[in-house]
Amino acid sequence: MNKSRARILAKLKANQGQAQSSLPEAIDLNPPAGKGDQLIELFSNQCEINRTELHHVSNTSWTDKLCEIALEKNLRSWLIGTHKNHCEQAYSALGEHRFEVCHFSSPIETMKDTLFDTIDASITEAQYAIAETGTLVVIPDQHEPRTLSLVPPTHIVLLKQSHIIDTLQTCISKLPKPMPTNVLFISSPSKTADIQQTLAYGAHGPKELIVLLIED
Amino acid sequence: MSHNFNQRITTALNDQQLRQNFRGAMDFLQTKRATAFEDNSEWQTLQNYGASIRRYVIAHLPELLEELEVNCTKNGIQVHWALNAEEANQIILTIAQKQNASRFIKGKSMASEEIEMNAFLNQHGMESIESDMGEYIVQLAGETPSHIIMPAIHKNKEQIATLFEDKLKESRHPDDVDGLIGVGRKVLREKFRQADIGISGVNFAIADRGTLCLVENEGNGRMSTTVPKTHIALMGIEKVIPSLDALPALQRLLTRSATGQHITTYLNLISGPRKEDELDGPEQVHLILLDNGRSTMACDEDLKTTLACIRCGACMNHCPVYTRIGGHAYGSTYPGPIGQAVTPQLKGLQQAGDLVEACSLNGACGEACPVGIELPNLIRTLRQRKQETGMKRIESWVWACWLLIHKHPKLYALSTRIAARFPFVLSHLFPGWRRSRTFPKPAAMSLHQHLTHQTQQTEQGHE
Repeated sequence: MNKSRARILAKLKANQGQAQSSLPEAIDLNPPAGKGDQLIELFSNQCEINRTELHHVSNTSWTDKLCEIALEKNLRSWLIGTHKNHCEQAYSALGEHRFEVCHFSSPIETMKDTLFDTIDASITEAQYAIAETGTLVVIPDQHEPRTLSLVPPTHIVLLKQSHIIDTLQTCISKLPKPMPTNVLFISSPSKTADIQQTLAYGAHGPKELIVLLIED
Repeated sequence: MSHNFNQRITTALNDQQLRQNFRGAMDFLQTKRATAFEDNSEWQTLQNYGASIRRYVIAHLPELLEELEVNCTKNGIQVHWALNAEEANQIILTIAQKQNASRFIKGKSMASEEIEMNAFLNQHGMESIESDMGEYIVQLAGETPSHIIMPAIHKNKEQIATLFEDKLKESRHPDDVDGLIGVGRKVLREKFRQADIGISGVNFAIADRGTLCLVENEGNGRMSTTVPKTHIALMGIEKVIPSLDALPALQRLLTRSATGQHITTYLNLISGPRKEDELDGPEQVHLILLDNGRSTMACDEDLKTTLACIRCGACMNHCPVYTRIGGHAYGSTYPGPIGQAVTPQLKGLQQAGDLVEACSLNGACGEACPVGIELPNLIRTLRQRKQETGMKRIESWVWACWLLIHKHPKLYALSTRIAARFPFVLSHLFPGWRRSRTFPKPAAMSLHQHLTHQTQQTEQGHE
């Protein structure tokens, strides 16, 4: 295989022209005008277009809204992360209403049956959100693993208003170095138009995406 | 054109259902793209940037690939180099054998179609299931994709409902598209769960971070690259980009050109396998850098811009030929204008040169290309090279006759008189033309005769 590597690189290097272009500068992609409230409004509008359900809540009321949604949509069985404040709060609130709540606390190999078969909904936080496209930026870690925002059919996202930024370009400049193993930009429920260009939701990822936008 | 290509074209043109399906689909995709790029000055800016960044990549390919390898390796991604399809398949097989793996689940990857990975794995007793809905439909039907973004574009919902009924024993009304998708979701969920290895392509590989970027709408890409214990990413070497800064513009160009979306449902940045304290994600991530003729393309001064392609499909969506014959008629992994540029370079003009003739040189593909590849020029260049390898006998004969007639004024005059007096002679020389077109009617007098007659009349008038 190293022979192949050598051959490929040698061929490419041998034929590089003398005059080489310099790196083009990244262009300014017309960020949406506005900040603060305007960004929140833009984000909300985009969510509506993308069929992402959005609820404005406060730091103290979000758990009530959560239970309201759980009752309304009959989401009986929940999967949440570990160690984070909002996990404990969700656990208590949902528990009080007699919903089943599991923690994603062991490797996926031991969780597969639960994850795939019994869970109706999951909760994760979003580190950022992008207003121009209504996108949530979820950075999985050991407390909220990757599949938490992927496998359960309903995905609830906790987002603070102050974390909404204008564009993907701005967001990229905020990503940590070195990169986390996985960074997810989620813009709607899972969808496909593969059958005669007809839009259908819930292809493989969550069928419903619900954002609890927390005032702060 | 070769008999096979001719045959496939004829079959496609006679398939009214196929033509209807493609017409509808292309109109839909063209409209979506046009809406997404309504602001023309934004489009120009984006396209110029896309063109210059991709040309930069082609000019700096070896350094960027080396940088990508270093940074991926630092992140725990194992990097492999494959000179050709056989090597790529062998690398995949070796990884599988080391783990006693036999079940593959595949996210969308045109590169894996190019190397015919599924067939290879099947030959070795391994299962490889497509997880993209369109690809899965096509796999169930025993076919290959007919479009690089919407693989089942040649099928309508009635055909798909029938397919699910036949192959999966699942009955849904064709209009119940949600129900049909639900069937796919149910079947494939089991596959995600049980697969040993997930395969994906790569939309962009970020050299300075060692990060793989994947765009998708369904979630099957995330499933395939997250749930199984091993993830293998297969990537053409031209897919590398210098840094994350380039991603927003390129992502915008890709998704808007492909489906008219400002961003896809998921943009997934993968920078390594499961860390020690993490609870999910693959334990191993492999990146296979596939050459398979690309380094040769990079050395070709006239044709190297072929490598700028970001696989959006806009060229084929706007191609009047593709709209009428569909993807399968091309008989190659990549159909449409980009296929006409890529395939003869990958397989040689001898085997695939016919493809370049299926072009009216209308230029719509070049205009639509988000990274400014001058596809009509590439196709023209390949045509010229094809002619240089020698014309077919009948073509040589025709041109030899033409030359003879046009070099000898008396022969020329005779031939035009025959054409005028007996038009059916000319039309019967071109039966293919008459199959779908009305043969033009030659004028009663040639221009030469007309002018001679006029001059005589004028001279008579003066006397």
